[in-house]
Amino acid sequence: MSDQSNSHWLDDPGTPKRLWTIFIVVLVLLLIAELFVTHHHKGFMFNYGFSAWFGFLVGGVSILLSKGWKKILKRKDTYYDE
Amino acid sequence: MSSLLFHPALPIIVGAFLILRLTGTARSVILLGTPLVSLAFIWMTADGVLLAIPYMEWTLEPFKADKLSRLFATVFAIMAFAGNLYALKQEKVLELFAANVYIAFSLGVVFAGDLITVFIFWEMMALASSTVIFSAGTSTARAAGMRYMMVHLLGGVVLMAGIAGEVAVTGSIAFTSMLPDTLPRALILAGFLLNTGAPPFSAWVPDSYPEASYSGMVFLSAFTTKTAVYVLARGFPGAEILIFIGLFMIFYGIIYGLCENNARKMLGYSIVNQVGFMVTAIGIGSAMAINGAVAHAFAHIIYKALLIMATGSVFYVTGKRKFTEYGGLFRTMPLTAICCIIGGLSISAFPFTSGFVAKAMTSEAAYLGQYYWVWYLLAAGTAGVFLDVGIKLQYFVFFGKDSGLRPPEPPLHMRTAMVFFAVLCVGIGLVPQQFYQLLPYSLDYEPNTPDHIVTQFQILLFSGAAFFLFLKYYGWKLVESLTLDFDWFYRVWGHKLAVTFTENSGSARDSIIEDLSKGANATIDGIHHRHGPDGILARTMPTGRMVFWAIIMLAVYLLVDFVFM
Repeated sequence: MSDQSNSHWLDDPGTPKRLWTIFIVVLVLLLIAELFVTHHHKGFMFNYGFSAWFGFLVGGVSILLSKGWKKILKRKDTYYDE
Repeated sequence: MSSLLFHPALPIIVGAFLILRLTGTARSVILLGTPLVSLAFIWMTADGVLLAIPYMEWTLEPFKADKLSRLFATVFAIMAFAGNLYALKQEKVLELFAANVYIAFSLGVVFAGDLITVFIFWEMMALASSTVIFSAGTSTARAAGMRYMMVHLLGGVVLMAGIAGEVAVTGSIAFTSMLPDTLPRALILAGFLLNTGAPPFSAWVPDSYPEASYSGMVFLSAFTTKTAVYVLARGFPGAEILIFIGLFMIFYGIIYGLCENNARKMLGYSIVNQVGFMVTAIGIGSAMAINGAVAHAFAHIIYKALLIMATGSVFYVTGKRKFTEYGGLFRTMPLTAICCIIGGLSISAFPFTSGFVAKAMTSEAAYLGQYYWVWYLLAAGTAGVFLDVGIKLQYFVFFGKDSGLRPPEPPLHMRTAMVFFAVLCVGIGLVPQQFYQLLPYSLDYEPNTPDHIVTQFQILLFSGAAFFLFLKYYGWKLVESLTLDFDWFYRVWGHKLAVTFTENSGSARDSIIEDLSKGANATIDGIHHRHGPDGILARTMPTGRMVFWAIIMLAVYLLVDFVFM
């Protein structure tokens, strides 16, 4: 079960850079695509680009909140066994 | 009474008893066949009260059907089929028996027409599901099962108190739509909410479910929390407090999920998070919102079971459950990885998946009901779920740092169950209108519009961008730890209180027993003193004295005879 010989294209050193490039292209395409769609509802949440920056903000805040929460309440995973 | 023979719970409960005796192919046929028979019964069942039993001054309705109960029953039967398929080779017969009894009782709840019948099946579900946890057989499972049972029995007591109060106030046992405007109704609501994983008792879900076996958790994830969603949707639509409780659950699940190092426990937090969306929708209470809640419950049972099957498969083949022990498993488990990713995309409401077409209705209902702040928080919740289960789970189990583990894929029946559910996740997402026809309310709503798809992709992928940027520049340090939760109060303080009580009450008990035994001894001594062998009333007389007194009596007799005759 511990055979490390299997190699995979995902292990290629250039892969992370390629994946980042593809990811950024997709994000840009999504921002461009929104120019061509009509929102069915009105309101601040349907302004151009709202979902993009809101998603990014929520992602960042969630990570920071969880890191902070963990800092306060983290215990060894054998805490209740002792 | 003959309608009872067609109750959808019946085939499954009969099957549960049969599998105790059967082995091999016969057992497999029963495990896979009974949910299908049950499904046929569900769709043959007409609307209305199908069985009524007079009980004291009320009428119990143990079998009552409508569109809402049929929808939940349908997904329960599908889940029973896939769960039994996944657990086909499970050697712990007790687990399979308890799981099938548990499924039958949850069908009992969704077809119950009155509060007493709901309560009876509700409590039986708690016992059966505890047995599923116990049957894992480990010491941690026994302890977690006990904590699980304690919390649920507490919920049962609260629910019973509420039902008794409701009957006392209204004189009715009918299970209909109500608001928590009286104390009994508030207690009923609290009893129901406990099973959803609502605060402050949310921790029972991540505490207990992961301790079940690889297949046990699959069953557990589907029924308790979803029957709770069902009873809330039927009993408390539009109870506004549910909006606040549901939103709390959403963010509780995300934050704790991001902190968690145990993959199975993280999925437990994710159950609370997802049920939070449903509870929020029930709190909004409009037809669109209720459709959203129950569609979400339907979709969630499938994608959450898929995720738990995939992580259960990893647990099954590696024996490990922590992110710190995983990494790079996609190399030898590509099918499991693909199924897990499909589950992850579904739970994150990715366009063209079941999660997207289900959750969309809740956001739409929040917007149409002018709960704009709820709309924003639901959107934030969706982005958070993607970080949690959509990315973190997948990344650290299947990709990330190579752990060197090269486990094989799980057996064929487990792979088949996963593929079946993965196909359903995508299928429901592709043909939402057919899915919507199952919902309680007929509404004209199309989720797959270009604006909705584009903005949903934006919110998810930009949230993902935040994760990957964080990962790239700061790294994501995985540590073997747990994060304290509300259960700390009863696992640490509750334990201390119990120990202190036992010690103090022990000395009080000893002194009471001492006093009582002193009193009892004094009484016994008193009786012994008078009636014992040396007692005055039990003393034996010497023969000489007897003769003496006999002579005296004879002499008196002679004297009397001489004087008076």
